[in-house]
Amino acid sequence: MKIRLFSLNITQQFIAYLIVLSVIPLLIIGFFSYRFSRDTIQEQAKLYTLEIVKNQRDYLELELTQVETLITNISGEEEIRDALHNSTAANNTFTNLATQARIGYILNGYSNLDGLVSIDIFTLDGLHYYVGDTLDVGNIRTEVRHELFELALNNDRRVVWAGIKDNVNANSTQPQVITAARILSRFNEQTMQQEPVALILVNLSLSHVYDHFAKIYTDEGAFFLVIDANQRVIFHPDQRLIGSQVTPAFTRSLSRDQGTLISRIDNQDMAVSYVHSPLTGWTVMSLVPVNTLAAKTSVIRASTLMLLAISFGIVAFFASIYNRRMVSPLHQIIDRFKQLESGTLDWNDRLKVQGSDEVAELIRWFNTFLDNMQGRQQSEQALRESQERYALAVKGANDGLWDWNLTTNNLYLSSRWKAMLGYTDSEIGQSPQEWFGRIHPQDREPVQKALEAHLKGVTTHFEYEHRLERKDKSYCWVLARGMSVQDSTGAAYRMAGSHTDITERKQAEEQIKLALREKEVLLKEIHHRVKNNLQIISSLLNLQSFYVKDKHDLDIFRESQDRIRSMALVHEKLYESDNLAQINFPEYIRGLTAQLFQSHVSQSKHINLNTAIENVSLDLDIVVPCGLIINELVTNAFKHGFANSSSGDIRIEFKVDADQQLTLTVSNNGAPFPDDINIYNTNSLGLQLVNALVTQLEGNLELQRSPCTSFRINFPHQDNTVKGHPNS
Amino acid sequence: MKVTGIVYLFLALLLSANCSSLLNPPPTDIPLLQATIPSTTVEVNSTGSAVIALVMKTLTNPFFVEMEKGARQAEQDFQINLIVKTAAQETSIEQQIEIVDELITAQVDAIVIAPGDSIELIPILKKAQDAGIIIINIDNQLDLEYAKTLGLKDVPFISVDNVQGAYLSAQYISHKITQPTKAVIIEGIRSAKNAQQRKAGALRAFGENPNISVVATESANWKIDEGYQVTKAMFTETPDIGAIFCANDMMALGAIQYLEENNQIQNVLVAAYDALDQAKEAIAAGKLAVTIDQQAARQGYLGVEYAVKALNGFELPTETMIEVLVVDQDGLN
Repeated sequence: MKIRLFSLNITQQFIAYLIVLSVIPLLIIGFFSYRFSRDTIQEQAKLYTLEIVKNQRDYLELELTQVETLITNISGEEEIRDALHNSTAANNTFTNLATQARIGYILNGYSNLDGLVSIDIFTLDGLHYYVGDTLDVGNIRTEVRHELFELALNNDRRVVWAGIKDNVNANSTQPQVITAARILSRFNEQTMQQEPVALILVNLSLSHVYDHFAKIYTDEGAFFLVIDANQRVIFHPDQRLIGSQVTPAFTRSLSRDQGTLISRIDNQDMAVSYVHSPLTGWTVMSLVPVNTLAAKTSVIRASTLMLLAISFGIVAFFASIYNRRMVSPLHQIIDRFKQLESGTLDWNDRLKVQGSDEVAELIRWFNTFLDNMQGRQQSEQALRESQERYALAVKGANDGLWDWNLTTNNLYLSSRWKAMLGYTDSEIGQSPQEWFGRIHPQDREPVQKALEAHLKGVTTHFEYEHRLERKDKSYCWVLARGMSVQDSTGAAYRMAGSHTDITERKQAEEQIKLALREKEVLLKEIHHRVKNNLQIISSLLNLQSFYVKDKHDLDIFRESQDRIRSMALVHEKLYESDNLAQINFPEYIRGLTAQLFQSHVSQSKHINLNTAIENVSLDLDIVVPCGLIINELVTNAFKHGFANSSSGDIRIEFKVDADQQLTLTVSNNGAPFPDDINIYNTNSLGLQLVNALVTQLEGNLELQRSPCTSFRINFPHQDNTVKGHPNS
Repeated sequence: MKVTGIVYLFLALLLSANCSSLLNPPPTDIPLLQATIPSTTVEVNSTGSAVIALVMKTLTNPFFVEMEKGARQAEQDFQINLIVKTAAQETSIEQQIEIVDELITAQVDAIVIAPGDSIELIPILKKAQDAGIIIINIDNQLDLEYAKTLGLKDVPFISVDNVQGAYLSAQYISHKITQPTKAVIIEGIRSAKNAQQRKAGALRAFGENPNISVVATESANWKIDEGYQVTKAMFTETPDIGAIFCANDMMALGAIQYLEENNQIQNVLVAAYDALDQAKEAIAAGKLAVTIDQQAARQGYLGVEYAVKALNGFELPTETMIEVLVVDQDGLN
């Protein structure tokens, strides 16, 4: 039992406490109050019922005593006694009728008793005097008369109550009556003995008795019962049962003069209160169903039961609340822990928090616990994945990895890092010196600086190419990249990164650089030689011109010389500059114009040159035609525009439009350009040359004749020929 | 669930605790009555059926026994509830009044009455009629004048022609008288109408015979012993009386008793009325010359039948006469 009690869960214990504390006391009080009150009420009811039964017995006896008195009075009537004494003497019609009439008158005087059916006097001589409910006495039940006579004769009592009997007069309206009998006797002087003379019968109506008892109020199911000495029913509420016989088993239980008892009668518990009537030998009794008595206490029982039901209801209610609010959450938590242990827990399922009590707090904290668990699990998972990914990456990548703990000054170096330098895993420790000590002496300082710059937060990440000494004392190039992690104060406490072996790339770069340099030298040499060759041609033309006397021919020589020089100047500029593909255009124009002024302008002439050349570098493909065009147009200006004037201005403009259109303008304020000359169709070699060159540049040529002669050439630039400043 | 299990356990405990059988073992069952139900039953109230009371004059006259028998037959035939009430003596008018008063209180539906007096019962019958009780008059007629005065009305009357009956009876002995003879008449109660009528009938019959002289007419109040006394007194006064008319058999039986005692029975012609069994015996014995059967049972039967008809709303004749039968020695055979 102890073990069982302890095995109860919290709800059951709670219910048990509630029942022990409230329901059981209520049960006990209710039970005993019901028992005691029921017993008391039953006892009182029994006593009361017995009293009523006694009263009824007394009433009945009073009525019957009246009948007895009546019989006594009748038997005492002088005239009747005389008539009876003399009846044998004169037996004729007149006497009979006259006696009949006389006695009839007397009996009639007694017949007003309530409930009286008839008074009969039967003489032993066979005469019958009678008064009653009918005048017709032609049908006498002799056997009944005889029976009653015997009964009265053999009884000690003067008046004998025969109980319920068939009416001696069969013609009477009342077939069954209550009969009282008395023997009238006289003293026989001859025999000196009392001898019977007549039988007096008084019949009472059953319905009279019935009416009386039926009027008494009884409880539901309760009833009175009157039985005669022969256990025949005189009164029963059901008229049909009057005259029937009571069972001996029942009468046996009524052994005493009076009493109450409870017995089971006709399948119903009845409280029987009975009183015997010594006058008649009858028994008057009342039968009350025990249920009826108990009904009065049923309120107590009902209310106790109801209270109990309510109590149980309350217990059940609170138990269910308790179960729901306390035990069920605990069970759920226990289940979750079990699932957690077995690994079947659904991590996204959280317990519902209800209310704000300790259990709610417990659930809340349990959920928080799960959240944390889940978070940790997820981060562990993520970490594991990341570690795996990292390991794969480390394994797969050629990079050597390093992880420098700045706090402990430990440097982790990956196997790959070590292998990169030709070492095995065990040959290199965890000192930062393993890295820094192997840096090429020339790189050491810049690496140091770059590291410091990053650690101070100047650079977002660290990146530097440097050399590292291999195990075989050779150097390899590595690209060092790394990043630090800062604590809350901004101080770096860890730094990690990789070293990528870039030795091959470096070597390739070196080779390319070397090859380029060789090519540049070669190109410069070629340009130099072209320029020298062109200058030699120019010098040859100059020498030959000494032999030309004709001014026109000389001009042709000089024009050719200028043209060659303009081209030579291109090559000169090219080998002089670093850039072998492009020429700084303003510089070239300055050199070109300087040559042209030197060869065309005499001391006497004051020709000014204005230039507005945008500072651009241009490809050779543009510079050579542009140089030749400027050469032709400036030469033309000197030859024709300023042929007759000693002063003037020549202006050369070059600009790059927003839409990358290039515009070259050459103008002079000398003699106006002759109107009759069509610049597009002329015999002048110079202009023909200009047109050809413009066409080559895919541009167009415009001539503006006033206010000054101005040639404008628009042409598109090709590719990215235009570049920024040559310094860049 | 375990929780409800505990609750049920306690409820079961509770119910068993409240069951008295736990503490008192159930007694063995006793049947109260033996199975046989008596064939005859007590009649307390024959509900529904009309209650009709038959009120008669005396319990000592067999005439009324016959009347009751007739009424009882009607009770059977018409399924009504008949109460028979009788005054002790013919002279007990007060008792009859009392009986009617009781019947009014008992609220019977109808009263069939043979009034002992034609006058004195009218007020109480009026009261009964006012109480809604049907009144049927039999045997002796109520005084119509006085009834009218008091407002008692529509009382059907059933009887025999008393004058005619008495006439036939008296005539029967009158025819036998061929010599001058002294005759006497013993009347009933003088205030009773039938007594007067019978006297009148007898006087008429005697008057038709010039040989007869009526020397005395006295009342014996219908009674046998008074009949004896009156006869005795008459003979003391007039010893040679040759014919006696008695208004009923009972008085005639009293007169015959006197005549027998004084050995005069062979010398005196006695005519009577009612045709009682005892009177018939006397005729058979040659003591009585004639009597009149006025069919008492028929009167009783008809009285009840009329009451039933009246209760059912039928119109009734105000007067119904029943034939009288002359009963003499030949008639008996």
